[in-house]
Amino acid sequence: MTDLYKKLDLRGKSDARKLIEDARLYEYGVNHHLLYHRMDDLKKETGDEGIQEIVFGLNNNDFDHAFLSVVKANIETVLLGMRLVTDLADAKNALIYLPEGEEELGKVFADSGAEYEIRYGIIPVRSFPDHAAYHLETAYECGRMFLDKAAPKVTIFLKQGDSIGQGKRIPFGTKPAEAFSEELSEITDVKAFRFGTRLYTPDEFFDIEILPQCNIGNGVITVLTEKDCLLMEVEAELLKSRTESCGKCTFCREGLLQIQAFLTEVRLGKGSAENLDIIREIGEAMDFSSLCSIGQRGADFVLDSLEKYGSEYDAHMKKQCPAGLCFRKEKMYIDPAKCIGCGKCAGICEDKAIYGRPGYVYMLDQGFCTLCGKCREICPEQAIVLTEGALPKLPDRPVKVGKGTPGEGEKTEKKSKRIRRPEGTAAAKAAQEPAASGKSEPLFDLNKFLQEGENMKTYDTQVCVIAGGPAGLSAAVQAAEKGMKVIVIEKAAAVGGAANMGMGPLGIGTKYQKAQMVDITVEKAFNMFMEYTHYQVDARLVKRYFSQSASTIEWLESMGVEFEGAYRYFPQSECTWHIVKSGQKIGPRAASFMNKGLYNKALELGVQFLLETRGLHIVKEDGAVAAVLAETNSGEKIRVNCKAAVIATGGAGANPEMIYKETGYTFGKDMFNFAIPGITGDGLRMAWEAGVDHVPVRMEQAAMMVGVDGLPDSVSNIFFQPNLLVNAFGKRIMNEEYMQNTTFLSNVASNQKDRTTYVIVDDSIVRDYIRNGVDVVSMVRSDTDVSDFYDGIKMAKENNNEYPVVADSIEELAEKLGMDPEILQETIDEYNNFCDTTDTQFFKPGRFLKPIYQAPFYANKIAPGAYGTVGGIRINENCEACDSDFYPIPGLYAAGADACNLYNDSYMFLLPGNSMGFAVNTGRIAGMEAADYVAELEA
Amino acid sequence: MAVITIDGVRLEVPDRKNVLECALDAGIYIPHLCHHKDLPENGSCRLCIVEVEGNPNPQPSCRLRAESGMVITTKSERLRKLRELAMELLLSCHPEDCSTCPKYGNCEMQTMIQYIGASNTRMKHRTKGFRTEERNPLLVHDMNRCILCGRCVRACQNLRGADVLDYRKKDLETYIGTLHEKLLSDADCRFCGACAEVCPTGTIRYKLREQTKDFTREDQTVPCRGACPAHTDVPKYIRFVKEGNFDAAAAVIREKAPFPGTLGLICTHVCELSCKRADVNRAMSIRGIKRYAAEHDTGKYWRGKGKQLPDTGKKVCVVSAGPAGLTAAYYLRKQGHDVTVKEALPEAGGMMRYGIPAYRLPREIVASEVSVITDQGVKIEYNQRITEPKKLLAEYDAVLLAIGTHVGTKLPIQGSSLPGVILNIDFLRNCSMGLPTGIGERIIVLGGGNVAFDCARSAKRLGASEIHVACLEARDKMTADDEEIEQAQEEGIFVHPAQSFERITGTDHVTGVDFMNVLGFHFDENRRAITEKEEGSEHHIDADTVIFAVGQKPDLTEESGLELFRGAYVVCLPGKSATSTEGIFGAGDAVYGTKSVIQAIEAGREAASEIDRYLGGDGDITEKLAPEQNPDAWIGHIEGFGKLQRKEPEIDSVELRKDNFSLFDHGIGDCSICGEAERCLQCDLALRISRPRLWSDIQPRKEEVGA
Repeated sequence: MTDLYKKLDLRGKSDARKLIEDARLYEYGVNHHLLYHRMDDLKKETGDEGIQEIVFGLNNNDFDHAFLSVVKANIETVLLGMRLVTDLADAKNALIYLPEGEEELGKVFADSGAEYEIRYGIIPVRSFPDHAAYHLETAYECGRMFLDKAAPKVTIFLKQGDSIGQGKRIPFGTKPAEAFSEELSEITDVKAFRFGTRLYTPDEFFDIEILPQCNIGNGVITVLTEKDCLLMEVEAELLKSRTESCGKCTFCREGLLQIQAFLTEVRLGKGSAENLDIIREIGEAMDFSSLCSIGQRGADFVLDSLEKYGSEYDAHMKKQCPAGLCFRKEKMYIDPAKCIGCGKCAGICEDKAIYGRPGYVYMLDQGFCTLCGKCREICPEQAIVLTEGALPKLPDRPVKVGKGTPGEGEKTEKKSKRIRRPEGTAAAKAAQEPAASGKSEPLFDLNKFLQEGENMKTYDTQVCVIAGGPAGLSAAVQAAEKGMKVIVIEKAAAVGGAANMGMGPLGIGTKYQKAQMVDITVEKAFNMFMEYTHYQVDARLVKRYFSQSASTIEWLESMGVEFEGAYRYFPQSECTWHIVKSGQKIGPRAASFMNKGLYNKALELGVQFLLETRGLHIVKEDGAVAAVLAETNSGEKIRVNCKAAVIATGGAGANPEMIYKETGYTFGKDMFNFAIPGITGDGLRMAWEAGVDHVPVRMEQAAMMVGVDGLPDSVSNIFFQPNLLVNAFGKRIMNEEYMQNTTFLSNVASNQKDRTTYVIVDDSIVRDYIRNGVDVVSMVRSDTDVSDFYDGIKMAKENNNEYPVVADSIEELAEKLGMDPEILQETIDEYNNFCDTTDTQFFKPGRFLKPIYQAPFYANKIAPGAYGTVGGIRINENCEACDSDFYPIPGLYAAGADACNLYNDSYMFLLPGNSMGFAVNTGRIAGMEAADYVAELEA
Repeated sequence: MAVITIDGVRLEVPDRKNVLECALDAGIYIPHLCHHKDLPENGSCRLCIVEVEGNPNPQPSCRLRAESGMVITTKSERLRKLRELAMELLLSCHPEDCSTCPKYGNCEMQTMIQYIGASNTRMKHRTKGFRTEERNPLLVHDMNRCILCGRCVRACQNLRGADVLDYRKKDLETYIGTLHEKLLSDADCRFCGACAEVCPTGTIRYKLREQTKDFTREDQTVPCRGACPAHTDVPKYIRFVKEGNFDAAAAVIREKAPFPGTLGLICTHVCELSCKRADVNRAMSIRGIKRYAAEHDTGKYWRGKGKQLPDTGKKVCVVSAGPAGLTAAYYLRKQGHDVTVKEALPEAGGMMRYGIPAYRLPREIVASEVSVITDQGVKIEYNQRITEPKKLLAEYDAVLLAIGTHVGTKLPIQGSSLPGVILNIDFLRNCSMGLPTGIGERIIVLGGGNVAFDCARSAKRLGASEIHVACLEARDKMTADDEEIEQAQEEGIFVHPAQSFERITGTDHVTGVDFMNVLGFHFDENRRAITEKEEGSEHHIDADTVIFAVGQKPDLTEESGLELFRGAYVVCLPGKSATSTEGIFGAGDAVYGTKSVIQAIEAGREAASEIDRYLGGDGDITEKLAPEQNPDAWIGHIEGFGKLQRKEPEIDSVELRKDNFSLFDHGIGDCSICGEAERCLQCDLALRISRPRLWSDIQPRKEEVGA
C-alpha cells in the first residue's frame, strides 16, 4: 500500500484519511454517515477482533442497477476506492457483491484485484454482522476524489418508462432538477418523481438539493406522468421487492405481501378506507422491522403515494382510474328478453365467459369477458349488448327463455330406481374387520408405578385438579377463591387444552343478551334442551349449569377476560355464544385468552401448576380420595396427596381404540374427529378404575369435510354451502339448508351407506359464489370471499388428493364417486327441476336451489366428524363422580367433556358455546363443591 | 459487567450480553419465536422488540447487546401493537386449525398466540399449498405450518454444521428445505433431530415421537438407551469408540453391566432393534462396537476405581453363579455386604458357561469377567446344589435365588421317552464339559430358537453327519436370529420351518420323526398350540437322535418350600424381587422364564438394590466410572452420511469353522470400527438442546402479581 500512497502523491495513510475528512466524503448507502465516522464506529463496534471484511455492493433494494454502468466503465477507479477504504478502516479483506448475471464483471474484478474475493448475489447485510457494508458508489467517489483531487460528487440517473439514461455527476449543493432541465422540459404531463425510494410531487422535486443527508438511494430519478397509474406502479414495485426478498424477516416477507394484497383490492375498486389504514400500519412499522433495505425501504413508495396522492386511491375506490388504465367502461351483457337459449354464444366464447344450458337465458361473466365481440357476431337475436353505462338488472341464475321467472316444471313424480347390492361383493365386504377391534384398553399398572417410583416426589395439597383446560382451570380458580390450596396437573407444556382452539362459552341471560335484546331465558333454554334430549339427561344438572352460566360470564370478566358479545353459530341457532375478545376481529383461538385470564388468576391465588405432567391414578383410602399419582414427561413419578380431586381431562378424542370400543366408530375410516394430542381418555380410565359408573361415551358430532386440509378455506366454504347433498348411491338425502347444523349433518352422514355423503356443485355455482359471495356464512366460516377456490382445486390436484373430485360430465362424476351414473343423473335432473319450481321433496327454500348443469362438476365427501368425545363419567348436579348406585365417591369430582353426558345422542348445536360453557360451569361447580367438601372434612 | 435497567429493575449483567437473555434470566418475560438460546440470532420475528431510551424506534432485544446505562422498556402500548402486528403477519399464512396438528398443546407458537393475543382475522389469509413431505425417515416436514423463524436452519448450519436445510424460494413463497428439494438422505442429512427439537411449530416433527406417546421424552429421543434393559448409555460409548477412547467406552458399559466382553459377543441387542438409524438404512452395529471396546479395554477407568463401601457385617447368599446371580453378588459386595455364591456346577457363569456354545462365547472371556467379581471379594463355592433355600437363612441375612432355567422340557408326543431322545440343556452342558453327549450320526433338533441352533451347530462340530432343525413357526416367525439360521444352513444344517411334530418313531430306539406341514397356529388360553395342518402332508425324516429344544425351566420343586408358579418358577411380590418368604429374593430366568443375559444382568442389579435396602443400605448401586463427555454439538457435514453401510463382522469360512469350537466371528475390524461408530445419529445430542422458555414458565415476579 505504501507504493499506492506514493503514487497518489501522499505520504501515507494519515494523509489519505485527512483528505477524506476534509472533503467530508459520505457513505452513499442507507446509513448517510460521513465515511470516516462510519469507519470509526464500526471499528469500535467490532472491538478487539477488528473488521474482518468490507463488503462493497449495491443496496439490496436497488432493482435498477443503474450504477453498474458507471462501475463497468471505471473499474480501476472503483478498485482504487475499495483499496483505500479497506486500508483506512484497518479491515483485513474486501469483498464485492454483484447482481446475478454479472459473472463476467466479477471475473474482471477478480483478475484486477487479486486480494479481493468476488462473490455474486444481493447483499444479505444481516449475514455479515461483523462486516461493514459500503455502497459501490462510495468506492467509486473515493477513488475519483484521489485521482481528481477534487470535491466529491454523486452520480444521478433519469429513468423514463423502462429506459435509464446516462448518469450525470452532480456536485453537492446543486439541484438534480436543474442538471436534467433539458430532458425534463420535453415531458409535459409530469405527475410525480420518484428519487431513490421516495416519491415527490413536482414542486417538492424541483426544490431538492443534493445534500449529504438526502437519501439518494440507488441514484435513479423516475418520472411518472399522467399516463401512469400510481397504484399500478406501486404494485409493480412491491412485486419486485417480494421477488428479491430473501423471505427471512417477517415484515419484509409477509408485510409486503399484505400491503400488495390490500393495495390490489383498492386498485380493482374493491377496497375501502380500512385497507389504507392497514397498509399504513404495516408500512410504518416496516421502516425499523427488517434487517436490510428491501424490507426497511420497501414501503416508502406506497406510504409516500398515500400521503401525497391520496386522491388516486380515493378515485380507485370509486372505480375510477385517473390514468384510465384500471377500469374499463365498456361492458357486455345478454339481454334476457331477447335471448332464445340457443347456446351459440357459449360455444364460440374462448374466454369461457358465457355459460348456461339450452332453453335457458345464457349468462355472461364480466370477470372473464375480454370484450372480443365474437358472441355478438354469432348471436342470431342481437341479444348481446355492449354498453358504457350501468348494467340493467339481470337474473342471477339461468331462467327459462321467454319467462324471465321460474315457473312451470314437470309435476309427475317418477318412480325411483331401486337399489340392489352388486353381486359378488357381499362376502368380501363383510369380512372386513375394523382395524381397532379387539384391542383392549391398557389398564394402569399400579405395582409397576410404585416400584419405579419408590422414592417419588410427594406434594401435599387440598384439591388436586387433573388437567388444565377450561374445566380444570375454572375448578382450580373457584376452589382457590374459596381458600383452598390447589395443585393442577397438566400433561401439555401449556394450559388451555382443546379450548385454546375455540372461541367462547355459552351464557344464558347475560348482560350482553339483554343489551342486544335477545330473547333467551333459562326457562326457554332449559325446555328446549330437555325436549331436544327427550328428557334422557340430568335435569338438575342442566338447570344448575344454565342458571349459573350468566354469572360465570361476569366471573370471567372479573379476571380481565373480555367478551365481544353474544352470537349465533348459524342462523337457526340461539344467540348464546359469548365470544372472547382478542383485541382483534372475531376468529378461532379467541378462547385461549380466556384460559390465559383463568391461568393468571390461578397463579395470583397461589395455585401450583405441574406442567408436562400426566395424571394417572386416583388413590383412595377408606373409600375416599387420598391422592393422585402422576408422571412427568421425563418419567419422574409424583404423588399429590389431596382431600379432593377434580377430573377434567377433556375426553378421549385422540384415542382411536377407546373411541372404537366406546362408540363403534373407527377413527380415520368413518369418523374424522379432532384428535387433539394428549386428549386420550386418561380421566375416563382413572375414574372408572376408581369405581365411577361407566356411562356411555359419545362422539360430539360435527361433520367433517374430507380432503380440504391444507387447501384454501374457500374450498370447504363452497362445499359447505346448501347445495345438492347425496349419499353413496347418488340419492338426495336432506334439506341441505340444515347442513349448517354440523351435528345434524354428521348424524345424516352416520346413517348412510359407508357413513358417507357427497356434496355436489357445478362451475356455474362456483362462479356465482366467486362473483357474489357465498349464500350462508357462519361464525366459523365468516369470509364470503371464495375467489381462490380454483387455486385450491389446482393444489389438490398437484398434491394428488383423493378429494375434491372434479369431472367433466355427470357420468364421469358418478364413476369417480363409485355411484350408478343413472341414479345420479336422475337425482340431478330431479333437483334441477326443483330449482325451476319448488323443492317438493325436502322443502328447501328457493334461494338455496341452484341447478347443476355447467361442467366441470365438483364433489367433495362429508363424513361423520366430531370435536372429540363427551361423557363417560357419571356425575350429579354437584359434579360429584358417582358409582353405579348413583352414590358419590367421596372427594372425587369431574367436569368438562369427561363428564358431559348432557347431550344424549347428539350435541345440542342450537345453543352454541355449549361445550365450553359446560366445561367452565361444571369446573366452577366442581371447584365449589370440592372446596366445601374439604372444608367440612377438616372442620 | 454492565448495569442495565429493564422495566425499572436494575440488573448487573455481563458486558454485551444479549438483552433478551438478560431479561429472561431475571424473570422478565419478553415474547420471542426466532430466538433460541443455543442458536445465533436472526432478529427476524420481531416479537422480542423493546424500547431503548434514546432510540426512537423499537429494536429486537435478541440483537441488542447490554451496555452500561441502557434503560429498556419491554411493555408499552406501542410495543403491544407492533408485536400484535408481527403476530398477525405470521398467522396470515399459518393454518387456522390447530386441532389437526400433532404439536397441539406442546407448541410454542400456540402459547405465543395466547400470550400476544393476535388472530389472523384482519390480514388476508393464504394457504401455501405445500405437500407434506413424509417420504423421509424419522422426520416429517409440513411447510404449510412454517413461520420461517429459521431456527432449524441455524440449528442445521450453525449448531450442527450439517448444512442440509436452508431458506429456499419457490415462486414468491419462501420455505425451508434441501437444495433442489432432495430427500434428506440424498442431501447428507445427519438425522440428528436438532431441527425438530428447535421448531416452535408443528412444521418439522419427529415421526417417532408421534408413534411412541407413552414413552418418556428421553426414551423417545434416544430409543437404544431406552430399549436396553440395563439402560446402558449407548450413544456415549459409541462416541468414545469413535474417538478411539476404548477404555472410556468400556467404562460406560461397565457402569451398567459387569460382563461387557460377554455382551459384546452374544447380547440379544434389543438396542439395535430400536436404533433410529435402521429407518435411514440399517441399524448401528451396537453389539459389534461394544465388543470392540471390551476387547480393547485396559481397565484404566474402572479397575480398582469403582465404588466399595465399608463392610456392613451383613451376609448374603446368592444361589447360582449365572449372570443374574453374579451381577447381584458383585453389586451387593460393593455395597459392603459379605457375599457367598453357591453354584451347583464346577464352574461359574451359568448359561454363559454351560449353555451358549464356546464357538460363540469363548470360556476365557467368561472366566476373566467372573474373576473381576471374585477380585471384588465375592466368594464362590462350587458343586453346591441348594434344594431348600430357606435353610440358608439360618446363616445368611438374605438369600437370592438366581438359579436360571437349567432343566430342558419335552413335548408329550409319542416316542418322546425312547432312547436317543435327549434334551437341549443336557446336551449343551455335556458338550461344554467335554462329557459324552449320547448323540448319533443323524440328528433332528426340534425347536426354532437360538438354543435349537446352538444344539444343531454344536452337534455339527461334534461330527454328526446329517442334522435337521424343525420347528412349528414359519420361517419369518422363528425366534432364532437370522444370522444364526443362515450360518447354520451354510454349515449344511437343514432347516424345516412350519412343521408339526406328529410322533417320534422307533421301538427300542429313535428311528426318526413324523412331521406334517403347518399352515398356521395359535395358542389357546391354556397355552397349548392349536395348529392347522396341511392335509396329506405327512412325511418322515430318519434319525437316530432327537434333541428337544422347545424350552427350559428352573430346577426347582415343591420341596424348596417356596411359592412356585407353573410348578417351577419363583414367585416374587408384584414389581419386586422379594418372595413371599421373608429374606428370600429371586432374580433372572428362574422368575420370568428364559430371556437374555442383559435382562438377567438388569434383574441382578434390581435385586441387589432391593436386598441392599432390605439390609439397611440406601439401595443406590449406581457408580460413575467413565470420564465426563462433552460431545461436540458441531457434527459437521459428511458426504453420503445416510448411505454409509453397516460394517459387517469378519466371519471364518464354513470350512474353517464347521468342525471346531473356536470363535469364528472376529467382529468388526480395526480399520472399520471408527467408521461404524461414525454412522451413529447421536440422538442424545438433541436432549442437550435448551428447552424453550414459554410465558407460562416464567412466573410473574411477586411485585407484579400484587399490582
